[in-house]
Amino acid sequence: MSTGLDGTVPAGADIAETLKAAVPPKFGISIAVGEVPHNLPNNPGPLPWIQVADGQALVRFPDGRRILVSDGQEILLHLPQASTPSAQQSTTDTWMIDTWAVPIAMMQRGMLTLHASTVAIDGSNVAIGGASGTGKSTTSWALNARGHDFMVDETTICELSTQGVLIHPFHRRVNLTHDALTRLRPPEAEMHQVAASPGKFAFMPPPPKSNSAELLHRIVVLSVGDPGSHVSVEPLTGPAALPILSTIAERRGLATAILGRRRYLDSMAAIAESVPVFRLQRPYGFWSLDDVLEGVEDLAR
Amino acid sequence: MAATRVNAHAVSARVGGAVVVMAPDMRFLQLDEIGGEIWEMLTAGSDIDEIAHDLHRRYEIDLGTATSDTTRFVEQLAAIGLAEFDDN
Repeated sequence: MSTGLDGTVPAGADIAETLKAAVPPKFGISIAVGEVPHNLPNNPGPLPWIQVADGQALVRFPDGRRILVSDGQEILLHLPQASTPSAQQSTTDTWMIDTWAVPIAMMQRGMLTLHASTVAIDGSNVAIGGASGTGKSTTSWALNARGHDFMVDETTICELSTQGVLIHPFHRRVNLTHDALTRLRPPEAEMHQVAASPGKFAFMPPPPKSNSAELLHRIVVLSVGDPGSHVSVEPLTGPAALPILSTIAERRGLATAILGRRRYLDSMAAIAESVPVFRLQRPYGFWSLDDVLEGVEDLAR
Repeated sequence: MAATRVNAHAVSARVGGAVVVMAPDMRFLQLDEIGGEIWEMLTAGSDIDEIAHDLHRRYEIDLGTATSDTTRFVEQLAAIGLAEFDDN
């Protein structure tokens, strides 16, 4: 049977079994399909469609899908209707798992999950974060095309340790725009449209060379400047790093709701103390990807 | 002197030696050295008089100046919702 990792689902496949393949066994997370309530008791926030209570987090999606993540170990997925599995549905289901459920489970275990891709550049693990549309995935996949090891897209799981900040490689799909795919080396894996992210296509990249936790060496947060500006890099040390780190750690209020505000801030402070943080700004509109790639490579070395 | 208390939803941490306050609305406020000390004394439950006496003793500054400076700082915190005066 296909693993479903390339987005394909053979007719009659059990959806839960297929989705289990989207989560590395090392994470020890169980996945089941079943009934998920519309709300947790007393409708806790932080948002109407994202609710966090003791040991549980519920997320509702516009198409009727819902996920309930419990105790960092169990994912329950509610599908809107019983239907014949399709590649399109599988891609959406997998997106809910790898973009939402797994990061939530890791937060429930006390970890921060940065909205960042990670690439290993000459032995230096660099998390590339930023708001949607700033080019995280494009930059990371382009760095892969230049020979660097692509470790994860969009979800960098961080664990604080006495050695520093450890990241847990997570072999999951890459979501890229059609424009980026046509400009970059196309992946060998089959691609499918991501219904939840219009204009994006998902594919499974080759697995990272390392599957064990590794130290994080740099964080680069991408931002978009005025048209006509140039690619620029700004180091952010100590307190100056916190606001921009928060933009990629806060996850729509999930992180503070799950970790608690105290632990959230302490975690970010620990990261800011031990990992150099940079803001890399590129111009809006027409921009040179090569300038961005060289900028990231320079920061890594 | 009215007692003061910090906003219970504001948390702080030391980063690079400086005190950084994360406000309830997720804004970050970096305090200078004395401001950080005042903030940490407020979170420990000290009132303005106690803080002013502490600053007067440790920094050998005039008590009246310490009191007025501390009061002004707490008023600034209150203006942005990070502290409030308790008149009870």
